[in-house]
Amino acid sequence: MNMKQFAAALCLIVVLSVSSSRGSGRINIVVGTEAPRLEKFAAQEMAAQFRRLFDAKVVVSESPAKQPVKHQVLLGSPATNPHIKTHFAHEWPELTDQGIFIRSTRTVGQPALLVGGGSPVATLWAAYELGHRFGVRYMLHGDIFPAEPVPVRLEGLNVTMEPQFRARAWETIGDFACGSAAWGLEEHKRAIGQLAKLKFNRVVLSFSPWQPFVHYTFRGVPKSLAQLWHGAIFRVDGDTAGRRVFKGAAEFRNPDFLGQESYGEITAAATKLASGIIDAAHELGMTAALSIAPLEFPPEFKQVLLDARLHGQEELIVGPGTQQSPTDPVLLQLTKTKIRAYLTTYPNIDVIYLALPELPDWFEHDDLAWNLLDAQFGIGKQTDLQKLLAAANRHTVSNGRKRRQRVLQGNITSLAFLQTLLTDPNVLQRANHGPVPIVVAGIDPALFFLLDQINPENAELLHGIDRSARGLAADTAIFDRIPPASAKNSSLMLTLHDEDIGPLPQCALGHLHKLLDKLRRQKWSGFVTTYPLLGDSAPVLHYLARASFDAEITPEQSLDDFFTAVCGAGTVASMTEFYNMLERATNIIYENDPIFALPVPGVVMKHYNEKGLPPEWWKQTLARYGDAYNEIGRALHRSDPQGRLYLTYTLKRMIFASTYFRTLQALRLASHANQDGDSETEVEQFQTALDLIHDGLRALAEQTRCHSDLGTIAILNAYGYHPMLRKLDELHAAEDNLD
Amino acid sequence: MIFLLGISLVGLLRAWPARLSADDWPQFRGPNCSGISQSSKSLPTQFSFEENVAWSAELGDGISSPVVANGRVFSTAMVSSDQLAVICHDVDHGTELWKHEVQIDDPPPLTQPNSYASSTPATDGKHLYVYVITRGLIALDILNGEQIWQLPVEQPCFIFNWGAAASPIVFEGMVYFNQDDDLNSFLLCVDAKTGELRWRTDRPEILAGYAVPVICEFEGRKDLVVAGSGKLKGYDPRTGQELWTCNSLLRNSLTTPVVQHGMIYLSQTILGGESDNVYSKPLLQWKDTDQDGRLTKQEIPESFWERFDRGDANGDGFLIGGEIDEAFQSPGNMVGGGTIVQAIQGGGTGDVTKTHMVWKLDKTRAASDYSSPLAIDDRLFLIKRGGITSVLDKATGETIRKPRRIGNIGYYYASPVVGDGKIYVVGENGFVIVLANGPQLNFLAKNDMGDTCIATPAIADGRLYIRTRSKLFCLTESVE
Repeated sequence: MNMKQFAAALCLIVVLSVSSSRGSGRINIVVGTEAPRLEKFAAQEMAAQFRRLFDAKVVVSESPAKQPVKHQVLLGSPATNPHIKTHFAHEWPELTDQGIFIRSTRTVGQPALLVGGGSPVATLWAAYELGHRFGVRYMLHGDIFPAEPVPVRLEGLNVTMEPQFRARAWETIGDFACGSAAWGLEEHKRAIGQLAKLKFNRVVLSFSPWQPFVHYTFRGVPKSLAQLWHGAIFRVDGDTAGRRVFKGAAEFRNPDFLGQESYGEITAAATKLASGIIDAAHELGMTAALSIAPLEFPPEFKQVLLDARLHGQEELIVGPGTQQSPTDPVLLQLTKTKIRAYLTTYPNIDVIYLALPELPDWFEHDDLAWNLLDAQFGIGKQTDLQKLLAAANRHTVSNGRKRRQRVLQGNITSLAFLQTLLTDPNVLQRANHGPVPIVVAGIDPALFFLLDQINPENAELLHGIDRSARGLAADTAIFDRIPPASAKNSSLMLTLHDEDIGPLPQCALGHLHKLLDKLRRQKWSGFVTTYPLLGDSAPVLHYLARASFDAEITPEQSLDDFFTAVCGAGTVASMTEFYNMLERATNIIYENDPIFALPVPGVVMKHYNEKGLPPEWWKQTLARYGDAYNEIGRALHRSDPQGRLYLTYTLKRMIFASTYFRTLQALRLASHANQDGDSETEVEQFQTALDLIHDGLRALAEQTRCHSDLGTIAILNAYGYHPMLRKLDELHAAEDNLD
Repeated sequence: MIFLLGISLVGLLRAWPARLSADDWPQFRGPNCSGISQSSKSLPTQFSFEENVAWSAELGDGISSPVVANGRVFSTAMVSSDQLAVICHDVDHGTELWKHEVQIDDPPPLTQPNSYASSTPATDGKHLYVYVITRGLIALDILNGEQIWQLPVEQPCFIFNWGAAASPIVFEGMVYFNQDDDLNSFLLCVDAKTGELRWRTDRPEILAGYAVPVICEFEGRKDLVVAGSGKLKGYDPRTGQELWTCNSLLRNSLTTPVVQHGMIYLSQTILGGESDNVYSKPLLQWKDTDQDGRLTKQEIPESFWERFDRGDANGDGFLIGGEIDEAFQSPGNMVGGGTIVQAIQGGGTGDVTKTHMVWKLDKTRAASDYSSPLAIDDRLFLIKRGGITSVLDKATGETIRKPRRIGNIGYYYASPVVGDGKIYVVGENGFVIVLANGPQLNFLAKNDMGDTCIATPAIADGRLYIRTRSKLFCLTESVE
């Protein structure tokens, strides 16, 4: 077949396909011939959505149809689509590079729809926004479309949106098997694709020093630790609750690391994964960033740092000790080596977050550090170190004063070290990309009022302050210390699912709303969501996405908007109450035991090793989880078909939450019986606890969506079910000895 | 060549329709749902998904039990999200001999761990009788899987979306199929040869349940016995006429009774106490979406609206209090939950509740929940959630072995089976506990099948068949 024949055949196919168009006729999506790649991608995305949404034939073309077409969408902007420039430039609004525009209009006597933005990525967001307005809802694991095709209605739309927060970042990787560290590249890509639909514009890859995402050698010592999650190995063979989900595997692993055993293999797999995530973000118009703590190293580097201190879970981190001053040449050189290794491995990253770790042990050099900062920024005119430390003392309860003060001293020392480090212009150079912009993360709140001085280059800032959204929302006055100029460069770390509450279902929607309101009024740049564990994400992400462009939206309105589309209007009341109950349960846990379920060894058995009867607040939390469970059950019975799977997933997590607390209650009763010398009751209660945790993991296993869900089950087996089985064997052996 | 000829001759002989042999396992839980193998051949004690495996086959998701006849083992499985397959394997090598696929379009909802491949087929050695949710009963030629006949059966309606899991049996040329749901429970008799419906007996007072019919022969009379809500009933298998009823059961029958020497044994555990007789509590908890303490039509599935009207005595458009009970359960059969184990003498007439109850245990810790009892020798063996086993004296109900754990946590949906002096207890977690048949249940082995397991095993001709959620294993004492 020659080219002419091929072209003729192609025309015939096109004619036939057009003539077979369905009920609502054809929709023509016109994108500029020279349109940027992202706009052409937006056209394809829009066409795919329209095909599912409408009973219509959808064609993407680069020019308006010659014949009158009932439905026409002009995609792009006057800068990228000649047809828009010719006919609609006069009605095109002034947009920022993140602004979105959707307007119903007419062209050549026919109705048409303008969809575009102030940049190619904003045009992509506009296409997704249109999908939202037609009833599509975007979740981390996929889209929910209306159950039935609907008639095409492109009339009556007039939307102009500008972001309330220009920085909307998603932190990923982390260091828990029940979080995105368990995801393979395909799962990351899926999530990033969904985040683009929610108008997130940055992905931040957060690495721990012992993880395998980089390799470097310093003074003959090679980095040799390459672990994904604190060195834990999660066996999932044998008697493992919910093991069906592991499909016969002996050990739970990230799917991209299967079969990778040596340091080199694991590091290569990790590098490939991280590079793939960066590429995926770039593909969708997002920036990609790395987040590292420059002053943290894997323990093998203890030998090159005199008096270095081991810290962190399993002592997998080594940091500066007494003998390292903030100008210590070895420490500076090691840090440079590490940063250079990351920038060499990932030369196409857009930003690097340099996090100042909490180093209360590195307090001795605070005078020197302060002097260095004063010499550079003149901060001594505003205050002095002793005043700052005294203030830190006043702001804390007595038993935490010393630590609070040392944390501040360590932070000042780290900050001085960082400034010294960055005086070397080569540290941040990327191959072919120039120096990488930095974000300084973790400056102590006591220094907030000095931010304009200590950040003269207007680098981006990231503030953590408190791990939980609840903790942040409890004291928003702390944000008032940040000068307005620095607020404009500041993002807030928003913890959506706190690892301290572990894999238990949790919600902080009310607190997040309060925080966003504060940030909006102070004109902050935006937020970075941190999601060390994954679970009940969809409605929270939906709220953040909507609130990022809509100053008025409330959590209740956001839930209504979400659940009306996903599950049907009949479920909204129940689901609103569900999140209310979930947030109340979360609050009770925080108020009583802020690290109640941090997924580390001993998280379950510690309750057997403690004395006393189950505390009353467990019963209260269980009651709230019970209320939430009932609400979601009601919603499930009213749900439209397309939302049932989502609700069922959430329902199973509620069953898990309930059985988890009941497991702990039984363990505590077993412990109590042990103290009373009642071994029969002890064994009976212990067996009940095993039954319950087994049921909870079984419930989780009935609905899994990704490897972090599998990781949750693996962790709870490793830190709960398996040690409990071993203990039961011990109890039985003791019984046999008595017999 | 001679070798090949030998194989083909064996195959030919195997291909010839034959009657069932005593070694076969033709239906759910073997002969008359007893769980007892008639074979004297030895069976494995130690095995796993990789040890003593004569062969294994990937099936697809399912919880139905395998059945065995004439050198063939038959299974059902969901081979895709909307396709069920009936699969026939050769028992010697696991060769797939045929596969009959059925489209499952738009089935009613179900609740895990249920599956659309939940019904266990039955065979008379010539045909395989299979229940398929969207087709009803079908008969397949066991030689080639070709469909012989089909009888549509109305789909069951479960108010809490439990989903279908009823299994047919074959007895004296007839296929019997009992379907207890929350709307129209009934018992069918179908000509095994032609698929012609011989009779249908409605069971209007019976709520959802999964008891398989069993045959009870006593003093020369063979009754078709079916457990249901509150009632154990005996029917004339020729006419479907109800012969007797024993009104001593609980709200739902999730287990199947077993029969020995004219005595019927059953064990039930149902959530709630005697006063939580019907569904009003869970209905108000779940279906009453506006939580105003009353049900409207819009809050329940349309298929139950007729029931709604029945309960809405005052016609105010709401079901309140007792009206909910009236709507969803027969007024004369308001039974609740509890835990029971009973022995009932077969062969009665009329209401035998007081006359034929030999012994009964109420509120007993021994009662099983999902798995059916095993009546073996002079004992009744029971297993329930947590791996808690009990042994009772079959004649008196007295405890021989008080409830004790067998060292395997979790649920027990599969019913225990026995052969070669060994009791096989399959946990949902995929571990198979082997116990020596005897009053003390000596522990022999704990075997890992590597996957979740709901299905009751089959035993035939020295082979143990275990169907995990995805695979079928044929296990033998030793593999050469």
